[in-house]
Amino acid sequence: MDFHSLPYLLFFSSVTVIFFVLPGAWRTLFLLAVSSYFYASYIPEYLSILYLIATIDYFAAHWIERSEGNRRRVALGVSLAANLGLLSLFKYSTFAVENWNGLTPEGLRFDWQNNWALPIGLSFHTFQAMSYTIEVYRRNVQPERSFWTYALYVMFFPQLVAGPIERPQHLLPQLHAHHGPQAERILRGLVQMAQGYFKKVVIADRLGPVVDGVYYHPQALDGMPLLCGTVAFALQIYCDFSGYSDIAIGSARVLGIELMTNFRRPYLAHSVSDFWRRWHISLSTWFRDYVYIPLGGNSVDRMRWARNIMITFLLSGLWHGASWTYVVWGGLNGAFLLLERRLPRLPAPLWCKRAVTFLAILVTWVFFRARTFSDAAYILGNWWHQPLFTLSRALRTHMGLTLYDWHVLGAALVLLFWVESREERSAVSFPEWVVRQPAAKRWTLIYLLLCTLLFWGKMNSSQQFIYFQF
Amino acid sequence: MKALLSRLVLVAATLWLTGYFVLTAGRLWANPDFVLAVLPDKVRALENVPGERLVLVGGSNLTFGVNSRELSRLCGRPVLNTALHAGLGLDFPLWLVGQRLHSGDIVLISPEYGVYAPNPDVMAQALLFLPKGLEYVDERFPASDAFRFRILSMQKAAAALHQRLYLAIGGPESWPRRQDFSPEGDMLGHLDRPRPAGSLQDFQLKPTDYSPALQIIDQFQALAQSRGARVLYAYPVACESFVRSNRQTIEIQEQQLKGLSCPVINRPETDAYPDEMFFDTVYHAGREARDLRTRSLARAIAPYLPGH
Repeated sequence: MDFHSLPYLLFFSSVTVIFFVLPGAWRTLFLLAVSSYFYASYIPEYLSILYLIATIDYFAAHWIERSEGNRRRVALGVSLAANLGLLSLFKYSTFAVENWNGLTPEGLRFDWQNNWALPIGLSFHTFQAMSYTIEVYRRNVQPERSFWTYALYVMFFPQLVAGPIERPQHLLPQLHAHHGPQAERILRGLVQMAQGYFKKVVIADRLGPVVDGVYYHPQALDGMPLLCGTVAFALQIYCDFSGYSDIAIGSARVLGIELMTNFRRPYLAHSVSDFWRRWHISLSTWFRDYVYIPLGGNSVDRMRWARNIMITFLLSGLWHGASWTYVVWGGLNGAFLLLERRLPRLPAPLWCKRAVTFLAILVTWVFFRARTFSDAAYILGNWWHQPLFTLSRALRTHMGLTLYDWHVLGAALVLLFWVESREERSAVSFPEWVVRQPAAKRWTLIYLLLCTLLFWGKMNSSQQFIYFQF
Repeated sequence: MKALLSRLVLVAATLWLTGYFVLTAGRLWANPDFVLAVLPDKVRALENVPGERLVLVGGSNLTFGVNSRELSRLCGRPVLNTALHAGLGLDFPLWLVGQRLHSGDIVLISPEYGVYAPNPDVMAQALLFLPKGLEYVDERFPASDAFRFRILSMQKAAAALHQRLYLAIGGPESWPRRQDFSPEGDMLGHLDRPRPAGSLQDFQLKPTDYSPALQIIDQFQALAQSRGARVLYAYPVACESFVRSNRQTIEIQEQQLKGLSCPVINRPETDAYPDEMFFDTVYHAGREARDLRTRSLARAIAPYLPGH
């Protein structure tokens, strides 16, 4: 059940109505039941794995609380091994075997391939589950007494399949608090959902064919179409993933639960480190808190700090997928960050810093999206080839979109830029700004936003959210 | 909460009205020269041409690749080329034909390889010009899909209004157009146009389960039989390199088609012609391939004509 489908809208509306009608004590169980149903709508068999891992972590957390010294570490180890073992088995085993076979002589090779479908959102919910046992181990949170509430913490449907990756301190207390329906909060949630849908079905899904056309067989193209395809991917992945996050955050808000912010206008970043403070915040703070800082963070000598940065970014790359292209993507981001710290600060205007940052991020996206290193190398080596000639050719062919689609895309991107610039200047989110407007203006804005979805939204799109595969 | 709910209902109602207005406006002002606007013409021909006809159903391989006037002369009966776009799928054109069949009609089905499901974008655009098609959508699709088609059709109406505006301010006309068709329904516009550069991009067919298509054809065959009409199946015209490079996938389809209840009148190679005889895609025959295919079809159909 994809967020951008009619069944989800029907599901969500029914869940919201029943949720507010039910007495507070029943709501946790109800949300757990509908979250299980939501997850089972993808691959029902995997629901048992999710419950198994939740059970292990639930008991491991209580074991950690009761234990001291080595036993405490063992209990944490059991939880981490279960989560990482599951993640490795499904996501990395084939990759590991392929690499092993590539490096070893004939007799030592394995003839094994994992043909199982990857459980939806595996990397997200295992990381969220691990943050719980780690925080219990660090004595930052008490273990959750109710198994059902803990299971809901792992499985809460708006953020189950692609985050934001929540922390127990933030989410668990909210699962205990029961609010009545609050009109202002519900409206803010609905506007945020609409904003997410706008990014996904108006922009990201429209850019999909352009990106696919370029990255399916880049060698068939040269020059500006390669650059245009990569810029399109940068916009597509942002609108797709931040759109998903907006829908998740908005859905949860309607139900009275605040999820953490996951994106803060990343393409307005003025440096690579600033970009990482704005992009997929729930994952980058996860790596900061559970990998980078435990390694020593920046309170060590320069060499070790550089090592910490690189380890964190390489792992972040690997988190995205079992492929060396993702690892290189992570490594490049780490390298750019190190380079940025080494370079002297030049008194350049803000727009110039933003442009350079965007270009650096664009280079990294090539490795993220390309299927092979040779594709990535070809794109990077050829995107400035005969710029004027190749641009005019790309404009003539419309790069696989109709002229109407380009006009819609142009208008939608202008709107997105306007919203994000306004948010950047005022530090007030768009949904909050909308609900603060006088009634006539507020409802006109909502009507216009819904009109853009109705008339411009790609209704026949079979494109899943990109981050579902992670 | 009551105030919020009542305003949400009001916004939803206003949206519904806006959508209805745009859909109506799109139907009224959609560019009458647009290629899919030929669909009602084809349906009208089906309704108005009397007697025993030869009705062609399929995708653009038939639209571009048959000379219906010549075929009519060779077969001795009127030919109606209802083929338009593979994106309309197989079931929708057969549904349109099925309602207008005459006793003694011969229906020749020749879709592109592996194609039977409609492309929602093309279907929604077609519904703009042929609102009667909504009956088909309601009949054959679940309610949620039928709703989605209506929304899509409304989006196409908005796009049609945009196109009209664009033409009004001097934007270039798209090609092909409605007036590029002959009264029999053949595309003629490409015959005197230069072949576009970089055309005939080879593509690999994905092996698809063709059994749903077989089911559609068999159902239509049963309907045709009950009306005293006859159904034939022919492989499409396509360029040689494409047929060669997709031989394996085509063979799979050939195997599946052996279970068809109507006769298959040719082989995939029968109407595979040299690449240089094609216009802009592997299925769009140029003048020479079109003529060859017309004669080849006439020969293949001949044994099924009465009095043969």
